[in-house]
Amino acid sequence: MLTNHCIKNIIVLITILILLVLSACEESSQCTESTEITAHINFKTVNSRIKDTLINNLTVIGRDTPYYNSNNIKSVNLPLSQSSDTSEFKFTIGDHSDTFVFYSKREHYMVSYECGFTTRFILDTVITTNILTDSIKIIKSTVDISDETNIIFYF
Amino acid sequence: MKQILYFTFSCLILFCPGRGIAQEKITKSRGFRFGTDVSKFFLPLFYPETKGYELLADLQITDNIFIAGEFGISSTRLDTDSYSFNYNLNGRYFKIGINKNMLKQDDKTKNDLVFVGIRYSYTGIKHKATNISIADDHWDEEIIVETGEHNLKCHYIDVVAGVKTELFKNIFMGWTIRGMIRLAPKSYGIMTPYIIPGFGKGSRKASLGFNYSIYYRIPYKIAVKKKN
Repeated sequence: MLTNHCIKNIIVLITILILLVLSACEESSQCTESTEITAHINFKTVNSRIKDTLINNLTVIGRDTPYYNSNNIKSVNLPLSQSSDTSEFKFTIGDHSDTFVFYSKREHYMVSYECGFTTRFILDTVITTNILTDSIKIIKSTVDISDETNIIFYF
Repeated sequence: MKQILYFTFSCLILFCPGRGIAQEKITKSRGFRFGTDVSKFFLPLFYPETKGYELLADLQITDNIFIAGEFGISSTRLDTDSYSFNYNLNGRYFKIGINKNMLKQDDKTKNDLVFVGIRYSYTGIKHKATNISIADDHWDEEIIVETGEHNLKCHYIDVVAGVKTELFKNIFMGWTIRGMIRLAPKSYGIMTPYIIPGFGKGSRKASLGFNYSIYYRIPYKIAVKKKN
């Protein structure tokens, strides 16, 4: 024969168990975050004032196929190598070309258990022979998921 | 001579209370309880690939106050069947604190408890991820890396409430519900632990937990001076 006291105890226990199960259950997680990380480069001209500039006829090649092949570009986003300290890109504007070598350190970190690991980079220097550019400035050396500008090319 | 002896003897009695004089004392029963958490067998339902066990103990220090502690070990293995890397975690935790009994003691509920309590908890974790494959589509590379072993020290506070009931002579069963708040660490570096043993999911700042345990109680009696 269940007493009132017993029934109260059972109700409390069941309520607690339900609360626990609800708090432990989460939506089945899928990886929704993009793990693409690129270095963000803005173009500016050096005159009496420095301002954003649009470049025409720009081709950027990383490994084989052109990564950019466009007109009216004011910025590019370039992927750095996951396994090497250097990443080399060939820029061609019209008839003139130059090579830009990005030197960086890599740090692998976990985005989430569902998405796995990705790499963030710390930029060291960018080497070029300045055929196309006047100068290069590293604004933010950490290359990660944020879309802040990393480098400025002054033309 | 006889009077001096008689006088000295009276002084000794007066100035040495408790020796040879019948003082009112009563015996109280106390107990030491130790047990194991049987709900840990169901841990893999909530956290797949995790297994562990937990030992509990409490020592009665007054009629209604107990020193209580828990100790546990837990490990987690994730592999590339479900994730893009292999993952290993081993952790040990200690909890120490006080339980206060709220149940009025009478003959029927002699050693039963309905209690609330608080714990200071610590978990030490070693974890690492290996066989991490990172694909680089632009440079046509795929690399395999690993993180190396990382140690974490986690501190948190538990607030607990629960019940312990005597089933058979000196055999108890009980459940405890606990709310936990993580004090440290504030951030984890490159990898969040999958689970903090004794606490819950590593990414959480607060967590809810549940034990269901079986105990054995060792009773003993102590003599206590009766309060007037």
